[in-house]
Amino acid sequence: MRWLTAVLLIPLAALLIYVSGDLPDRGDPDAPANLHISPELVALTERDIKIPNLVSAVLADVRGYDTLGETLVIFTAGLAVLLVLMRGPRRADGTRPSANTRSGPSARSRDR
Amino acid sequence: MTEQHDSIILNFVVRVLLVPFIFVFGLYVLVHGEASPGGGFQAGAIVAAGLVLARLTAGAEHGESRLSTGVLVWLASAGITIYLVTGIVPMLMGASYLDYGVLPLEWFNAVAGHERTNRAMGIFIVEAGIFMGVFSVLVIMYDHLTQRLSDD
Amino acid sequence: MVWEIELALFGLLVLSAVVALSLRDLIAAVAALSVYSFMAAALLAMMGAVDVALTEAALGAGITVVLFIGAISVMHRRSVD
Repeated sequence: MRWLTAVLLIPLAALLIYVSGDLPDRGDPDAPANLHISPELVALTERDIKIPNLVSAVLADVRGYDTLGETLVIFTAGLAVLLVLMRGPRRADGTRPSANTRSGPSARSRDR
Repeated sequence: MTEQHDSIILNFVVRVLLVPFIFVFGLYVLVHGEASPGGGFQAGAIVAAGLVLARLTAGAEHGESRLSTGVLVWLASAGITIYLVTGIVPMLMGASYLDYGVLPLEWFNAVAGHERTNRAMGIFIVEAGIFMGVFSVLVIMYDHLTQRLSDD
Repeated sequence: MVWEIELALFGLLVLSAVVALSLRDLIAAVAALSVYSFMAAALLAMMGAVDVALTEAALGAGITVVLFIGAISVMHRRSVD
């Protein structure tokens, strides 16, 4: 199995390294990625928003809806961590509910 | 991981040197998010890292009592609500969702004495909401992971 | 001068990733992963993506390590494969 992995991966790595020579230079203003929509975004930031940080302008204004979804994903992750890991309240004698009922909203509502 | 450490050097370095610096740097990253690299997400991660560092040295008994899970959940919800309301207010004023250009914020330029566009101030409000959300969620994750360690 | 530093950072990045994969002790693997995150943050900062570098340094090398160690210490410490 190991030699099969090597046989598959070494040509793939060689191919990727060979192809990477054709990529445009980093930060090249004539690269295709910098010609399509970037000039419009730079012009929009200078004209309407007037802040120096282009990244903040794109993230929070031009792509504001995207960032809203991102924040909601993080919030949902926090709520999921709470629901999975949260324990019920202590009983009157100071002990916790037993191991198989100690987490989740159903165990907590039954304890009350 | 959740016990309290009594080392004077550790307490001095963390509480006097590191944590206040980390908090101030995080708030700097938040407030200067429009002018220099940074923003709400980075600032939330930095400040949460500082608070987690303080809790690691203070131990579980002292750490959780100052900022409990209830407060943190309220803070995260308030952050999301700030973002959503900032999106809805332009809709009420006739523009599209999250279009900060029509936010009623011109009076703030007169109060603060500098020139900022409405969109820049809308970006700052939104970043503050992101900051509150990310910060509280990260601290909630740390608290509830280590709660199991200190209870058993 | 710059590309030598980047090459050294990239070598350390690959090396720490391989070390993190090959270690059996999970806490040591988390330490290697922290080195990986820091090298990635330094590389991103050298490329000019300072926003991403800040996030990577604070989340990848800071919070994630603490969360990983907290999760590892409630289960078995060694990997089995």
